[in-house]
Amino acid sequence: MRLMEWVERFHVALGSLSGIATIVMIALVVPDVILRKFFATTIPGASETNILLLVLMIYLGLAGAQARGAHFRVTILTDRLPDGARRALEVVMLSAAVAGLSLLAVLTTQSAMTSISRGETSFGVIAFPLWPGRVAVAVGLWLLCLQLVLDVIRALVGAPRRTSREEGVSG
Amino acid sequence: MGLDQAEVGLVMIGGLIALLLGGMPIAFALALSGIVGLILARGWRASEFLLSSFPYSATAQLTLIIIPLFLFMGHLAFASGLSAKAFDAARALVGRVRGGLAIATVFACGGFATVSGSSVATAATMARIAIPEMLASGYKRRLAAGCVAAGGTLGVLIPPSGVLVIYSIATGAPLTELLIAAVIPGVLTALAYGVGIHLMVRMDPASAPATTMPKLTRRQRLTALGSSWELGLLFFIVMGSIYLGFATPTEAAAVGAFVALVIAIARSRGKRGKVLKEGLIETGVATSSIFALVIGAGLFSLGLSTTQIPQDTAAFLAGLDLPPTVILLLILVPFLVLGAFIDGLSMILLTMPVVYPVIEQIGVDPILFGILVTKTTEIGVITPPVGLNVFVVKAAVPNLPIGEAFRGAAPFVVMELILLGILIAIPELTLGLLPR
Repeated sequence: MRLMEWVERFHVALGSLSGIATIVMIALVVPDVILRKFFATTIPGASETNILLLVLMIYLGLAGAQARGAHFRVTILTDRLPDGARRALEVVMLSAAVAGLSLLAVLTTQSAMTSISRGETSFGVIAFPLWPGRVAVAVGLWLLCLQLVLDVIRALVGAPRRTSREEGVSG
Repeated sequence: MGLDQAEVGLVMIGGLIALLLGGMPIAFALALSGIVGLILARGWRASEFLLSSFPYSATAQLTLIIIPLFLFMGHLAFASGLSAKAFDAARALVGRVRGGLAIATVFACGGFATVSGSSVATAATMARIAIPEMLASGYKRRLAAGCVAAGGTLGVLIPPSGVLVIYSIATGAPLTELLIAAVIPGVLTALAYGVGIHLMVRMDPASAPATTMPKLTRRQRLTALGSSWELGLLFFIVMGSIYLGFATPTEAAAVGAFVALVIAIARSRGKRGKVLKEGLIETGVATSSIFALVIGAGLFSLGLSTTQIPQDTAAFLAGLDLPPTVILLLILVPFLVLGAFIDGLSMILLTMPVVYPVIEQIGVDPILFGILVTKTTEIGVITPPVGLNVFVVKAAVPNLPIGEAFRGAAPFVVMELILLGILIAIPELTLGLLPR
């Protein structure tokens, strides 16, 4: 259980860290707009960097969002089930999610390895490497699968979630 | 596999509903049914290629950075106390009218909505500020709860708007036009709520006692209004630059987030680190969970479009030879029901793969439809059983039974339906500002 907590904390921390990408985005886009409007020039690679930051932010945050219970779900039926049935259903549902997502993880890992071996770059003004983004996708999906497996174990042994969070702030 | 395409589509939709009811997170349920559907419909080889590249290509798009930027701006505006200032300004303006505090609450929600793209966040913010004041002034709990829950929906309608960004992603409709088009319906909704509250209080004078607020001089009112200049500035920077074509929505969001950051640094002396840290964490988590939905819905849509179900549905509805308005209503009514169970973002991502081709086929303006859908999904957040805004508000009012809170929101649902009718009847209200 100790190990589980550490992994979960790592996921939450990684998710929190990914928020910092927002500041970098602002620091890139604002000068870029000013340069483009008033000096007819742009920061080379700014767009590509922003795209990479967004991909990092999304995928490295996925597991943390799951650990915080921040992914939206429909609870209208499950709320009415007795505890045992709810846990059993949760085990089934989360295992099914792991099956689908691990397939995605395998395929995106292959895609990331191809990208690395080919040294894939963007077709822009500058040749920006694309493999870091693809690696982030694969790593993020694997971490999400790991977190879901932890949640399955948690549901099996009936341990409550350590970190919890209210319904998401969006909508 | 022995399934024809229509059967694959039914398996996908049936499977999705089962997974959703089983409590699987919506994003994963969409992804799973999409993956299974795609493999069944196209076979392994074609699916393998699509599935290995889609998770990257769906997210590696520059325009999408608008989501974290808007989220961050809204959080900073809240942390800088701009919501409290909006309430003070609105109270100075209409506080002496019968039911004035409730009307001021709605207007303050509208003011805060100019920097927030989220309904729940707006309701949560205003609940903390306005409800204690209304209760202390002798307002009935039902009215206090209802006006904040309903006022919160302005957060989504008045730009920036999370739901409109997602609608634009799901349908390809231009975000610039969507954001501009939302302005008049948003202001109209705020005004309609104000008038509605005034009439409600006149019919039931016990719900809101006469004001004890002293009459303010014009100068005092102007000062109070002026104190919320930061909100005005942010709105002008973001929407002004989009409207004038000076910047794309993404660029405008970045500049808006930057200005909000400067304001937050100036306004939150002593707790800057905390404000910034919380803002970044909230933004990171919300971005991940929103994009999980976007990716899941993209996979679902990918699978579903190979089954021809969206195209067949569109052709079928078009073949019915009904007037477009009737078809539009047929599409919107289920949204009212659906909105009572799932949040607006998920609902739009879930339904657009099927619904949008129909809209294109019958010739309803995609911008108008976006605004109508947004409005419809927002009715869902103030109706039982899920009504997220009502739950948020309930948490802010001590000992308020949830049924009472929903009854408080009920008159606003009626107003919403009337407004929806008006927007359908007079498309110019939505499309009039667009540079076409």
